[in-house]
Amino acid sequence: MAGSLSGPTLLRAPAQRVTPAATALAGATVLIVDDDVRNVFALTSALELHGLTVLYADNGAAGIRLLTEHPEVDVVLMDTMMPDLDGNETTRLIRELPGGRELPVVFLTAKAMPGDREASLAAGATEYVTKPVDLDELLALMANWVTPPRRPRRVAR
Amino acid sequence: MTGRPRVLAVDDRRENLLALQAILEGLAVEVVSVTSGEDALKRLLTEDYAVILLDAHMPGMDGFETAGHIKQRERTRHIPVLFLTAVDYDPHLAFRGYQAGAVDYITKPFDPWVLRSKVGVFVDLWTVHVRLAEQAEECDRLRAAIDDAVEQLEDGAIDEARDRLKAARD
Repeated sequence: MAGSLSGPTLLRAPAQRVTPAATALAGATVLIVDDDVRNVFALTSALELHGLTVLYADNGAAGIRLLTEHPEVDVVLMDTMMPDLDGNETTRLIRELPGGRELPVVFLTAKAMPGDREASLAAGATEYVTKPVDLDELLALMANWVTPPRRPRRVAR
Repeated sequence: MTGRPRVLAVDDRRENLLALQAILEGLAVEVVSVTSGEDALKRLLTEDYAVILLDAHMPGMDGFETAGHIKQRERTRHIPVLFLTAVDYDPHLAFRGYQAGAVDYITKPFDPWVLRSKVGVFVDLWTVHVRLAEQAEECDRLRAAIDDAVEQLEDGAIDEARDRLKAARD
Protein backbone atom coordinates (compact mmCIF):
# COMPACT_ATOMS: atom_id res chain seq x y z
CA MET A 1 0.00 0.00 0.00
CA ALA A 2 2.96 2.28 0.54
CA GLY A 3 3.90 4.28 -2.49
CA SER A 4 0.46 4.48 -4.06
CA LEU A 5 -0.57 6.96 -1.40
CA SER A 6 2.54 9.01 -0.94
CA GLY A 7 2.39 12.66 -1.84
CA PRO A 8 5.29 14.63 -3.20
CA THR A 9 8.14 13.58 -1.02
CA LEU A 10 11.30 15.17 0.13
CA LEU A 11 13.25 11.96 0.24
CA ARG A 12 14.96 10.34 -2.67
CA ALA A 13 16.44 7.33 -0.94
CA PRO A 14 14.70 4.81 1.28
CA ALA A 15 15.69 5.29 4.87
CA GLN A 16 16.81 1.90 6.01
CA ARG A 17 20.53 1.69 5.41
CA VAL A 18 22.81 2.09 8.40
CA THR A 19 25.59 4.52 7.67
CA PRO A 20 28.27 5.65 10.13
CA ALA A 21 26.59 9.06 10.22
CA ALA A 22 23.28 7.47 11.15
CA THR A 23 24.92 5.51 13.96
CA ALA A 24 26.58 8.64 15.30
CA LEU A 25 23.23 10.40 15.38
CA ALA A 26 21.24 7.74 17.26
CA GLY A 27 19.90 9.32 20.43
CA ALA A 28 20.25 12.87 19.16
CA THR A 29 17.34 15.32 19.26
CA VAL A 30 16.42 17.30 16.18
CA LEU A 31 13.98 20.19 15.91
CA ILE A 32 12.24 20.55 12.54
CA VAL A 33 10.73 23.95 11.75
CA ASP A 34 8.72 23.67 8.53
CA ASP A 35 5.12 24.42 7.58
CA ASP A 36 4.89 21.69 4.90
CA VAL A 37 3.67 18.80 7.02
CA ARG A 38 3.78 16.22 4.19
CA ASN A 39 7.52 16.60 3.88
CA VAL A 40 8.03 16.79 7.61
CA PHE A 41 6.09 13.61 8.25
CA ALA A 42 8.18 11.63 5.76
CA LEU A 43 11.43 13.12 7.04
CA THR A 44 10.41 12.50 10.65
CA SER A 45 9.67 8.82 9.96
CA ALA A 46 13.08 8.41 8.39
CA LEU A 47 14.92 10.19 11.20
CA GLU A 48 13.03 8.22 13.87
CA LEU A 49 14.03 4.97 12.17
CA HIS A 50 17.62 6.07 12.74
CA GLY A 51 17.02 6.55 16.44
CA LEU A 52 16.67 10.32 16.49
CA THR A 53 14.07 12.10 18.57
CA VAL A 54 12.16 14.62 16.50
CA LEU A 55 10.50 17.76 17.81
CA TYR A 56 8.29 19.68 15.44
CA ALA A 57 7.10 23.24 14.98
CA ASP A 58 5.11 24.48 11.97
CA ASN A 59 6.22 28.10 12.38
CA GLY A 60 9.23 30.10 13.53
CA ALA A 61 7.74 31.44 16.76
CA ALA A 62 6.70 27.95 17.91
CA GLY A 63 10.16 26.68 16.97
CA ILE A 64 11.83 29.24 19.20
CA ARG A 65 9.46 28.42 22.04
CA LEU A 66 10.31 24.70 21.69
CA LEU A 67 14.03 25.51 21.75
CA THR A 68 13.72 27.42 25.00
CA GLU A 69 11.77 24.50 26.51
CA HIS A 70 14.09 21.77 25.16
CA PRO A 71 17.76 22.51 25.82
CA GLU A 72 18.53 18.95 24.66
CA VAL A 73 18.04 19.88 20.99
CA ASP A 74 21.26 19.01 19.11
CA VAL A 75 20.44 20.33 15.67
CA VAL A 76 17.70 22.32 13.91
CA LEU A 77 16.36 21.64 10.41
CA MET A 78 14.90 24.90 9.13
CA ASP A 79 12.59 25.56 6.21
CA THR A 80 13.36 28.88 4.51
CA MET A 81 9.92 29.88 3.33
CA MET A 82 7.33 30.17 6.06
CA PRO A 83 4.57 32.70 6.63
CA ASP A 84 5.25 35.34 9.32
CA LEU A 85 8.74 34.57 10.62
CA ASP A 86 10.73 33.06 7.76
CA GLY A 87 13.73 30.80 8.21
CA ASN A 88 16.23 33.65 8.17
CA GLU A 89 14.42 35.73 10.77
CA THR A 90 13.85 32.68 12.96
CA THR A 91 17.55 31.81 12.79
CA ARG A 92 18.55 35.36 13.72
CA LEU A 93 16.38 35.05 16.82
CA ILE A 94 17.82 31.60 17.63
CA ARG A 95 21.31 33.08 17.50
CA GLU A 96 20.29 35.51 20.24
CA LEU A 97 19.05 32.76 22.59
CA PRO A 98 21.32 31.73 25.45
CA GLY A 99 23.61 29.13 23.88
CA GLY A 100 21.86 29.53 20.53
CA ARG A 101 24.98 30.87 18.91
CA GLU A 102 26.61 27.43 18.58
CA LEU A 103 23.47 25.45 17.74
CA PRO A 104 23.72 23.89 14.25
CA VAL A 105 20.88 25.19 12.06
CA VAL A 106 20.61 23.36 8.73
CA PHE A 107 18.49 25.08 6.09
CA LEU A 108 16.33 22.98 3.79
CA THR A 109 15.01 24.91 0.85
CA ALA A 110 12.77 24.02 -2.08
CA LYS A 111 13.31 26.95 -4.41
CA ALA A 112 16.70 28.58 -4.17
CA MET A 113 17.05 31.91 -5.95
CA PRO A 114 20.44 33.54 -6.54
CA GLY A 115 21.50 35.27 -3.34
CA ASP A 116 19.21 33.19 -1.06
CA ARG A 117 22.04 31.03 0.17
CA GLU A 118 24.18 34.05 1.05
CA ALA A 119 21.25 35.71 2.83
CA SER A 120 20.62 32.59 4.93
CA LEU A 121 24.28 32.14 5.80
CA ALA A 122 24.39 35.81 6.80
CA ALA A 123 21.35 35.20 9.02
CA GLY A 124 23.28 32.46 10.80
CA ALA A 125 22.57 29.26 8.85
CA THR A 126 25.16 26.54 9.51
CA GLU A 127 24.45 24.66 6.27
CA TYR A 128 22.21 25.25 3.29
CA VAL A 129 20.69 22.23 1.50
CA THR A 130 18.34 22.23 -1.49
CA LYS A 131 15.35 19.86 -1.70
CA PRO A 132 14.84 17.11 -2.62
CA VAL A 133 17.19 16.09 0.14
CA ASP A 134 19.12 12.85 -0.02
CA LEU A 135 18.66 11.30 3.41
CA ASP A 136 22.15 9.81 3.66
CA GLU A 137 23.70 13.15 2.74
CA LEU A 138 21.55 14.95 5.27
CA LEU A 139 22.48 12.47 8.01
CA ALA A 140 26.18 12.77 7.18
CA LEU A 141 25.94 16.52 7.28
CA MET A 142 24.05 16.52 10.57
CA ALA A 143 26.56 14.09 12.09
CA ASN A 144 29.33 16.55 11.24
CA TRP A 145 27.73 19.14 13.46
CA VAL A 146 26.43 16.98 16.28
CA THR A 147 29.18 16.09 18.71
CA PRO A 148 28.86 12.62 20.27
CA PRO A 149 28.78 13.38 24.02
CA ARG A 150 25.35 14.89 24.02
CA ARG A 151 24.95 16.95 27.11
CA PRO A 152 22.49 19.80 27.14
CA ARG A 153 24.66 22.56 25.78
CA ARG A 154 22.17 25.17 26.69
CA VAL A 155 20.39 25.99 29.88
CA ALA A 156 16.60 26.02 29.89
CA ARG A 157 15.18 29.32 30.92
CA MET B 1 0.84 6.60 31.86
CA THR B 2 0.58 10.13 30.54
CA GLY B 3 -2.94 11.29 31.35
CA ARG B 4 -6.07 10.24 29.52
CA PRO B 5 -5.85 8.34 26.24
CA ARG B 6 -6.27 10.76 23.34
CA VAL B 7 -8.68 10.30 20.45
CA LEU B 8 -7.95 12.31 17.31
CA ALA B 9 -11.10 13.38 15.44
CA VAL B 10 -10.49 14.66 11.91
CA ASP B 11 -13.31 16.23 9.89
CA ASP B 12 -13.51 19.41 7.82
CA ARG B 13 -17.02 20.09 9.14
CA ARG B 14 -17.16 21.48 12.64
CA GLU B 15 -20.71 20.24 13.24
CA ASN B 16 -19.47 16.68 12.65
CA LEU B 17 -16.66 17.21 15.16
CA LEU B 18 -19.16 18.48 17.70
CA ALA B 19 -21.29 15.40 17.10
CA LEU B 20 -18.26 13.13 17.64
CA GLN B 21 -17.44 14.98 20.86
CA ALA B 22 -20.99 14.37 22.06
CA ILE B 23 -20.91 10.69 21.09
CA LEU B 24 -17.66 10.09 22.98
CA GLU B 25 -18.72 12.12 26.01
CA GLY B 26 -18.38 10.08 29.18
CA LEU B 27 -15.59 7.85 27.89
CA ALA B 28 -12.37 8.41 29.80
CA VAL B 29 -10.66 9.97 26.80
CA GLU B 30 -9.46 13.36 25.63
CA VAL B 31 -10.94 14.13 22.23
CA VAL B 32 -8.70 16.34 20.10
CA SER B 33 -10.52 17.77 17.08
CA VAL B 34 -8.86 19.05 13.91
CA THR B 35 -10.38 20.15 10.60
CA SER B 36 -7.85 18.87 8.07
CA GLY B 37 -5.54 15.99 7.26
CA GLU B 38 -2.58 18.37 7.50
CA ASP B 39 -3.52 19.39 11.03
CA ALA B 40 -4.00 15.73 11.94
CA LEU B 41 -0.42 14.94 10.89
CA LYS B 42 0.83 17.95 12.86
CA ARG B 43 -0.85 16.69 16.01
CA LEU B 44 0.56 13.20 15.42
CA LEU B 45 4.07 14.67 15.24
CA THR B 46 3.79 16.04 18.77
CA GLU B 47 1.43 13.72 20.68
CA ASP B 48 0.51 10.05 20.97
CA TYR B 49 -3.01 8.91 20.17
CA ALA B 50 -5.02 5.79 21.02
CA VAL B 51 -7.49 6.00 18.10
CA ILE B 52 -8.01 8.15 15.01
CA LEU B 53 -11.49 8.95 13.63
CA LEU B 54 -10.90 10.08 10.10
CA ASP B 55 -13.33 11.66 7.66
CA ALA B 56 -12.61 10.13 4.26
CA HIS B 57 -13.62 13.17 2.20
CA MET B 58 -11.91 16.43 2.98
CA PRO B 59 -10.56 19.21 0.78
CA GLY B 60 -6.78 19.27 0.47
CA MET B 61 -5.32 16.16 2.04
CA ASP B 62 -8.19 13.67 2.18
CA GLY B 63 -8.61 10.82 4.63
CA PHE B 64 -7.00 8.24 2.38
CA GLU B 65 -3.82 10.26 1.92
CA THR B 66 -3.74 11.12 5.62
CA ALA B 67 -4.03 7.44 6.55
CA GLY B 68 -1.29 6.63 4.05
CA HIS B 69 1.13 8.99 5.80
CA ILE B 70 0.12 7.67 9.22
CA LYS B 71 0.71 4.07 8.14
CA GLN B 72 4.14 4.84 6.71
CA ARG B 73 5.55 6.13 9.98
CA GLU B 74 6.72 3.50 12.43
CA ARG B 75 5.64 5.50 15.45
CA THR B 76 2.05 5.99 14.22
CA ARG B 77 1.32 3.02 12.00
CA HIS B 78 -0.12 0.94 14.84
CA ILE B 79 -2.75 3.53 15.77
CA PRO B 80 -6.17 2.19 14.75
CA VAL B 81 -7.79 4.37 12.09
CA LEU B 82 -11.60 4.33 11.77
CA PHE B 83 -12.83 5.92 8.58
CA LEU B 84 -16.08 7.85 8.75
CA THR B 85 -17.79 8.79 5.54
CA ALA B 86 -21.01 10.52 4.55
CA VAL B 87 -20.98 9.07 1.07
CA ASP B 88 -23.34 6.15 0.41
CA TYR B 89 -21.54 2.90 0.88
CA ASP B 90 -19.25 2.28 -2.05
CA PRO B 91 -17.36 -1.02 -1.85
CA HIS B 92 -14.51 0.46 -3.85
CA LEU B 93 -14.02 3.34 -1.41
CA ALA B 94 -14.33 1.00 1.56
CA PHE B 95 -11.65 -1.13 -0.08
CA ARG B 96 -9.44 1.94 -0.45
CA GLY B 97 -9.97 2.66 3.22
CA TYR B 98 -8.99 -0.82 4.32
CA GLN B 99 -6.09 -0.78 1.88
CA ALA B 100 -4.90 2.41 3.56
CA GLY B 101 -4.74 0.46 6.81
CA ALA B 102 -8.11 1.27 8.37
CA VAL B 103 -9.51 -1.06 11.04
CA ASP B 104 -13.04 0.04 10.16
CA TYR B 105 -14.92 1.95 7.52
CA ILE B 106 -18.14 3.39 8.86
CA THR B 107 -20.81 4.96 6.67
CA LYS B 108 -23.13 7.68 7.94
CA PRO B 109 -25.66 7.62 9.30
CA PHE B 110 -24.30 5.28 11.94
CA ASP B 111 -25.51 4.28 15.38
CA PRO B 112 -23.63 6.50 17.89
CA TRP B 113 -23.49 3.63 20.35
CA VAL B 114 -21.74 1.42 17.86
CA LEU B 115 -19.02 4.02 17.28
CA ARG B 116 -18.71 4.68 20.99
CA SER B 117 -18.28 0.97 21.72
CA LYS B 118 -15.67 0.56 19.02
CA VAL B 119 -13.68 3.53 20.28
CA GLY B 120 -13.96 2.13 23.80
CA VAL B 121 -12.49 -1.21 22.69
CA PHE B 122 -9.50 0.42 20.99
CA VAL B 123 -8.89 2.74 23.92
CA ASP B 124 -8.84 -0.29 26.26
CA LEU B 125 -6.37 -2.05 23.98
CA TRP B 126 -4.18 1.05 23.93
CA THR B 127 -4.21 1.25 27.70
CA VAL B 128 -3.08 -2.37 27.98
CA HIS B 129 -0.41 -1.74 25.36
CA VAL B 130 0.97 1.27 27.25
CA ARG B 131 1.05 -0.70 30.49
CA LEU B 132 2.91 -3.54 28.77
CA ALA B 133 5.43 -1.12 27.33
CA GLU B 134 5.98 0.38 30.78
CA GLN B 135 6.50 -3.06 32.28
CA ALA B 136 8.94 -4.04 29.54
CA GLU B 137 10.91 -0.88 30.29
CA GLU B 138 10.90 -1.69 34.00
CA CYS B 139 12.13 -5.23 33.21
CA ASP B 140 15.00 -3.86 31.14
CA ARG B 141 15.95 -1.46 33.92
CA LEU B 142 15.94 -4.18 36.59
CA ARG B 143 17.84 -6.59 34.36
CA ALA B 144 20.54 -3.98 33.75
CA ALA B 145 20.85 -3.45 37.51
CA ILE B 146 21.13 -7.18 38.13
CA ASP B 147 23.83 -7.53 35.48
CA ASP B 148 25.78 -4.66 37.01
CA ALA B 149 25.37 -6.03 40.54
CA VAL B 150 26.52 -9.52 39.55
CA GLU B 151 29.60 -8.01 37.96
CA GLN B 152 30.27 -5.95 41.08
CA LEU B 153 29.82 -9.03 43.31
CA GLU B 154 32.30 -10.97 41.20
CA ASP B 155 34.77 -8.15 41.89
CA GLY B 156 33.94 -8.40 45.60
CA ALA B 157 32.31 -4.96 45.70
CA ILE B 158 29.40 -5.93 47.92
CA ASP B 159 28.41 -2.42 49.00
CA GLU B 160 28.34 -1.12 45.45
CA ALA B 161 26.24 -4.07 44.34
CA ARG B 162 23.78 -3.46 47.17
CA ASP B 163 23.56 0.26 46.30
CA ARG B 164 23.03 -0.53 42.63
CA LEU B 165 20.17 -2.91 43.40
CA LYS B 166 18.59 -0.55 45.92
CA ALA B 167 18.74 2.31 43.42
CA ALA B 168 17.04 0.14 40.80
CA ARG B 169 14.31 -0.88 43.23
CA ASP B 170 13.43 2.70 44.29
